[in-house]
Amino acid sequence: MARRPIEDILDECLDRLQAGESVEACLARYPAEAAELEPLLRTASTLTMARLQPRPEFRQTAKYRFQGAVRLERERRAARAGWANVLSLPWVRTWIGAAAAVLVLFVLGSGTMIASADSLPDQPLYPVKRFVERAQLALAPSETERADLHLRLADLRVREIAAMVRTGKASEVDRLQQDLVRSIEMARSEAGVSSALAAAPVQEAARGAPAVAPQPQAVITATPAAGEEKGGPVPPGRAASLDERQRAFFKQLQERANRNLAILHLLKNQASERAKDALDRAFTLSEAGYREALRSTSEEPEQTDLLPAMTLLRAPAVREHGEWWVAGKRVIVTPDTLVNDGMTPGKLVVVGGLLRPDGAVLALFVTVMDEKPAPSERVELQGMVHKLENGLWLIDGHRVRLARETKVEGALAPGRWAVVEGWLGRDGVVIAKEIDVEESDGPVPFKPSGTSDDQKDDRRR
Amino acid sequence: MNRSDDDVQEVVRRAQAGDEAAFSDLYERYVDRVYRYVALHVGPGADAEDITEEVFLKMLQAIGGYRWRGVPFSAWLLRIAHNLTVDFWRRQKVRATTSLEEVSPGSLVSDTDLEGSLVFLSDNLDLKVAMERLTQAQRQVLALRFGADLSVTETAKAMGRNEGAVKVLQHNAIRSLRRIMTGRAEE
Repeated sequence: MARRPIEDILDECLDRLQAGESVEACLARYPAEAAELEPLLRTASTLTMARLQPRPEFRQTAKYRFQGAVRLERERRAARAGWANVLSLPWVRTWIGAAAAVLVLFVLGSGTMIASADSLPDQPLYPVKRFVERAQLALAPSETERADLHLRLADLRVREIAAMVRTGKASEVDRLQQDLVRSIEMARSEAGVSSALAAAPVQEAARGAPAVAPQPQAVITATPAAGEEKGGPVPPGRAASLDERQRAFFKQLQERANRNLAILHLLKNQASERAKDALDRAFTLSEAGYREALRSTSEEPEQTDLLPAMTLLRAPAVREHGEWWVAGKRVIVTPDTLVNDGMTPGKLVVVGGLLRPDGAVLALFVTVMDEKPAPSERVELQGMVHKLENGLWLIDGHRVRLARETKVEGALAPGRWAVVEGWLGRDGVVIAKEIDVEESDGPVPFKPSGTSDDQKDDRRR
Repeated sequence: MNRSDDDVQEVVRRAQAGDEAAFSDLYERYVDRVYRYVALHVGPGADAEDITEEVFLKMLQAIGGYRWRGVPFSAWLLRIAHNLTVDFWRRQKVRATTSLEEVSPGSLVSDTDLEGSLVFLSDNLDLKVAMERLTQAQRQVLALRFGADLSVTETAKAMGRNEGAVKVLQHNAIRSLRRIMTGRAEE
């Protein structure tokens, strides 16, 4: 009988190894080939032992992104199928542009449109708002303007998400997060920066598909970078304008990313469990989207930091000299701040915001709570002593009052570092129980705990 | 076509019709295998993750053109992965077809320390280095068999070769890998 080829025996043993059989058991089956087989099987077992598995975080994030790409692709195909034939007729293109302009002018000028501008997803006029957005996009004359509009729409979606989180409508949050991510993707695509969904240029994308399938068209085409366009180098003036456009886009993108991601992150503290899941998805996907876009437009991508220092304050709002104070921090409320209700002095509020170098908080959102504030709250804070003003010490932006019983260790003076333990009064002033003043010149490592909810320096990288 | 193939084909049909859930299903079924396949080619880590993600995006673009025709979906998907890893190496300007004769005698581990080499590879410390020294076809056969868990029959379909040729290639690949790991020319 002819001897069985070693390749066949090896293959059989490999199958057995993968099914859980030991090397020794395989060798025992083929004693005549054992000497030759053994080193091969032991080497092969290194590969089975490698147990390469994707990181769970990657697996999940990549899945979200893939699902986003699936939705985008489906919409694009639907749009192409529905309009391709009609739009191919020149007279239709001319008339449709004019008709759309008239329609949008009509809608933009109507009371319905004005009323719909602030509508939320659970309100009747919301579809009008979304229609107007689509019309604005259709009429935007250039890619740059469409990119800018998509970024602003992303801001709007975050604003709506905040409103839906406050009212506990988790399903709306989930729908909105999909729209949010789509807007970010579209902004990136329109701005001509390379997309995460089409990381490779078009030619690369076509090569990626196997020969058994027709060569696919890249879904998202990447505009060549300056100097890489077909037909030779880009004239200097053109390159400069591209660079300038990219820089402007980068700056705008970074500001918006900082703001929106901080809001999504901080909102989790107020969200229901279901809404938290949706917020998590929104955060993960938006962060990935913003990060990709920033990476594509930044010359130093490693410096892209998407989450600035932020804080969450929960205390009664205090109005003093035309300024808002919450938990002893000065809170700057701008027209961009998302406020659910009118801020009223004495009402309990939750403020999510960005920490400024001067200790003030730039409010991203303010949620005015229905519940009554607790009479006082125990707090511990530490920071630089700034000054004594109107009988109150300003320590790391907190106003601190010393009572007769307050124990002070060390000499309290401007420039010193102090650790304060006390209670937060209704007016936002900290009544100190104990103050420990550091004797050293430099500050100790800073980890404030102004309120129980404080999340200062909570950075995600 | 067995029951499992039928099942996959049904999911693929739904995906081709634009069913989002079907795409998620395909992702869940294949992401680990695709990653392992890619990681055995380019080494575990960020590159393998990027390529894995790209495989699914390419799949999304090209799935409309997929037809059964005797090629299992897994093999088709891994062809995308293969093409992307080839592109990766091309971009890296790394010789993807270093012949065994060119491999320097410098060993990754001593020939008396096979156990050490097991730890070495199982810890994924330098799997990339070892795999890099194989020919492209050798890497592919090992990645398909041990990364993507394909049978010889499936591997043959994915590589467009017959089963006998795959077994010979597999044998040569393992022998070469051993030589590289032990740093000595056998025979």
